Amino acid sequence: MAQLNFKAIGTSWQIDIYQNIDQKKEAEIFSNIKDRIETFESNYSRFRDNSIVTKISKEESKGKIYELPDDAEKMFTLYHDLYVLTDGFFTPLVGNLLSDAGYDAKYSLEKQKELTTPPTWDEALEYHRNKLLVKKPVLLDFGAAGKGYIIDIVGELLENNNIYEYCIDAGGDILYKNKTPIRIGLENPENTGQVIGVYTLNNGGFCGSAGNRRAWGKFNHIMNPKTLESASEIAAIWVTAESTMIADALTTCLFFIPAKTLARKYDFEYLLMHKDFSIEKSEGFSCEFFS
Amino acid sequence: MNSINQSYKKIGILIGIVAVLAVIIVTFANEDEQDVASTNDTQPSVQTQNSDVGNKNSNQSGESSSNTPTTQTPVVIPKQTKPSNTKQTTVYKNGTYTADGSYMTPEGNVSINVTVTLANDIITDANVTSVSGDRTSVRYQNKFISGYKQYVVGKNIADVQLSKVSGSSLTPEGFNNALATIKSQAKS
Repeated sequence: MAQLNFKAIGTSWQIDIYQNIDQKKEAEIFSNIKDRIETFESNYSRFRDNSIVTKISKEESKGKIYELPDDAEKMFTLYHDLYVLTDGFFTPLVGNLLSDAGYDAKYSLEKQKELTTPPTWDEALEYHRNKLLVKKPVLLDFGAAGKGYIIDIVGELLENNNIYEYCIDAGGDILYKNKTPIRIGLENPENTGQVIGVYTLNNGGFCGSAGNRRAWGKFNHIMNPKTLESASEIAAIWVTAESTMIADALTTCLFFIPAKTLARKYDFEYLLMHKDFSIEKSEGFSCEFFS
Repeated sequence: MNSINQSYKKIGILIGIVAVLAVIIVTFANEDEQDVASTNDTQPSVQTQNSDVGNKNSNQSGESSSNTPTTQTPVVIPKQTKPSNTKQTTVYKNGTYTADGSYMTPEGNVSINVTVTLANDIITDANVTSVSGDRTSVRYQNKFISGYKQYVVGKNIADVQLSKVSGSSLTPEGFNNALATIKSQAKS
């Protein structure tokens, strides 16, 4: 049994290993995990000066082709698929929008300039097999699915080390593999000392999203790229899917897109809570609610 | 195209439920009149309750039970003494009534079960459950069912047995500090 707590990608992580593991191996694995997350963050974070994302946002990137790391393929493919499926409501091209609204690298948390609609994917980018052509410099943001993705990557790392019983919790986005289920409280976004229900997770990814923490002025970090406003009617969304990356991406999608559209392509269960505390959910989201 | 199907389904569900409720009300409104006519003998009579309006089956149970199968079932009409002198004070008999309704969707016929409890002419409880196997319809029914009825409240974490909590991601110190600064600036 082992536990690791640390901070990374802007949130708090806790990794639990439910198998017996010798101390030397444990230290080695935990060190590898931290390195892997650091590599991911240094490539894809818009809050890092030297990240690929920051480079692409600068004027001098125009017309250049960037060779991306191997792990880009899965993430870019998902982002593009969802971009098409959601008709652009789910897009990585929202970095400038978030930044201009105040959620910038300096955490200004005040509107910096007039907000403009993000460019379309084709206007700004051309992506093919880890090669990215920048037609127009743009600030990308992978917050919607990046965390879920790196959680899955960490899970793979554990499994490559023969650890198959574990829980990875990065700020409430969870990947869980174990023989017995785990009870996950659904945090009340209006009162973080409370939960509105408890979900019993057997195995897989489980993600939650709400606008209560990263909120400033009339904005929160869940921004609608077409209305240029932040989600307000829906208070919180939870999704479970086999992969944490998909669960993470879909929590964002569901703020703007009906579940039926997403269900055409993805297998998932969800719960959505409106600001009046009424709930909507898929049939298979089996959960204990408080009322 | 999707939104047309969506509204079509919602209208279908609403029509289904309104029609089913209408059947329930009509059924036991008739029951009031029949009571006097059918109780001339001293033996309890067994009748098959069968009112067919379109696709719907309906079933009535007295105050003591509430479950119902979806097929027609014999209903026992209790022996009644001579009409009493006391005036009936409610328009509809108190009790729990249940019926199945069905409606057409582009994916085919789907069904729902509606149960209402009446006390003093007021619906004191209502329940709608989906019977359909079609995944899409079930999803819509759940949207309707949970939308019309289910609200949640918060419960203190200390009072709940759980191992994890999931919601918006915990924010880093830098963000929290910036937020605190902005808020204090706004106050001054």
